[in-house]
Amino acid sequence: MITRLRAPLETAANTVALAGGCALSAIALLTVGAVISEAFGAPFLGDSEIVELVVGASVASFLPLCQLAGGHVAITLFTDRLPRPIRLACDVVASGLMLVVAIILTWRTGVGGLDAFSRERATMFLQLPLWWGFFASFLPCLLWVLCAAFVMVERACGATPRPSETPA
Amino acid sequence: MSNYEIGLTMFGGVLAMLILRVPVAVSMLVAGGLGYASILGWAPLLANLKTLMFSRFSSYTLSIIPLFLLMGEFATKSGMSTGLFRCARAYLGHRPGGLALATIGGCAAFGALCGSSIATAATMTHVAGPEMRRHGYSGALTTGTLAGGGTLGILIPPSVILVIYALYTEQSIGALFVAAMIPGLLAVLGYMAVIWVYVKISPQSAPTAERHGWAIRLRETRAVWSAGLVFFVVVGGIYNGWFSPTEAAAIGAVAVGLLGVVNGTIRWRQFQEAVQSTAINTAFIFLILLGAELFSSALALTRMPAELSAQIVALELPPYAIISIILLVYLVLGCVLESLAMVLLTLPVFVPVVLGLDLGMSPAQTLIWFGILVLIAVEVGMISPPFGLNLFVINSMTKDVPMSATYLGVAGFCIVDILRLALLMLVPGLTLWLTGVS
Repeated sequence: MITRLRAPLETAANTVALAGGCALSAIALLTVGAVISEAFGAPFLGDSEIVELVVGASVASFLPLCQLAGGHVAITLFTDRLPRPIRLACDVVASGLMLVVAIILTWRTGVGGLDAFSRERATMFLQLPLWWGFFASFLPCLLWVLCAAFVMVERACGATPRPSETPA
Repeated sequence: MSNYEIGLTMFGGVLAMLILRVPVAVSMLVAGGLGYASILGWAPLLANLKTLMFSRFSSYTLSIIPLFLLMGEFATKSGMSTGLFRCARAYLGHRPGGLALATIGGCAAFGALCGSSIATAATMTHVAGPEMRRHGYSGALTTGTLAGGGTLGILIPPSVILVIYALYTEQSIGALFVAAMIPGLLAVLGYMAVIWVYVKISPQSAPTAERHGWAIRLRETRAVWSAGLVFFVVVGGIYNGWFSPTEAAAIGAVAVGLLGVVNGTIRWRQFQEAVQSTAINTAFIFLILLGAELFSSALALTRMPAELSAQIVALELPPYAIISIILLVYLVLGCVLESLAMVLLTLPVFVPVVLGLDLGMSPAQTLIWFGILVLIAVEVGMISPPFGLNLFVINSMTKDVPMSATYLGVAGFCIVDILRLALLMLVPGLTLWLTGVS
């Protein structure tokens, strides 16, 4: 029943991540442009500030997909031989902790964004308002919380975690 | 509870959570958050968390990580791995164990575009695994070679772990990349020697493959020269200070992506797939970095690392004995723990210890040398039986080879790795020579 929610959530998470990936690619192009323009004697000051704001938001936009895809690796080695109910209980607790972490980080980032807005904090060179960055990170984090909550319910209903690829 | 005990409890808590299937990043965030709150109180913790995520994610230096990951994904999706393997095969294929030698060569070349060991192992298993099996190579030699070769992904720059180590210890990313060059070359030579010995002992495990003429060799080389160019621009550019590491990573990602678009291998679908894998790996790494930041700042508040390292230094053991013990800890932990988390959890304690030893090197030299040793120790952990993560990835992709054969095949590679680790520990000049750091 609840598992039917996975498909729409996955679509949403994929779309958000793809948007973040496009932003990341655009930033790569912008940086290459800045290097070339500097090589021709026309340095472009403050490109790093754009990079920071956009990359921050794009990393945040990757969180929901990583959550649904089971990308946050846990070590299952020590518990693999335990009876299934115990493993399941561990997974429910673990995904519950993940949900708590997601809620707290999202909540605090939202508050941080309001702070940055009311204090009119901005970047040094380009005077870009910092709350843009906070806000752009906060929105995908809301989806992240939804995904984390979904994964916890899924575990509680007995779905086994997906095997996932790990980076080194 | 004294602060020192809080520090120890935090470590105990992380380990307990890890064992009970809590994701690495969550364990560090929970233990770090509770430790922080128990020393300074809840209000300072909540105030800290307001900017923790934004400031960690929006970091110019850290943006190098998603960019390098994207570059590695583009290289994978555009089929560069196939080209690099075919090029190495054209030169080495006809020798005894030639396809295995070519696999090592292909892994080294692909490792120059990709900063992850598992990604390199998985990609090359896909490309070279079926080739070796088709030519009658034994299962043990096939999977062993792929496991050994895969570790070249993190050893040969760019390397995600080296970037994070550089940021943590405030060393130059360029110097660490260059420091990894000779150890990387030694790894390639060591692995090739293992294959040579293996084929001498058991010739039937590697039937000779066909020889390729110079026409084919040149054609295959022409197909991949651009990959070599990208590597030299990226790593050489960082080292020579032509551009910052972030700029270099951006150039690398754009160059590899454009190459794929131009030769028609990267279209919208491949781009989407590359972005998806980049997204998952980036989010995974950054959440761990977030956890490590909170954990290590709480740990620093306890002053436990400083006291513990002072105690270790006060033991007055010979410096190399202490380094050996630390590396042994990494080798053992590496068999069971996720590599990035292992490095981030242990550095707050080990770095002050290492800096407190009298090794006859400047602090910068010590940290660069130690970073390469840690990297290799971590990498050996990833291929050590029985739990090495790479072994499982390779074995799941090569279904006709039993796990026991993989264990047997990888043993020789582990042995030369440990010999190389000892050599690099005893001769720091091998690591430091090219860097010119004093």
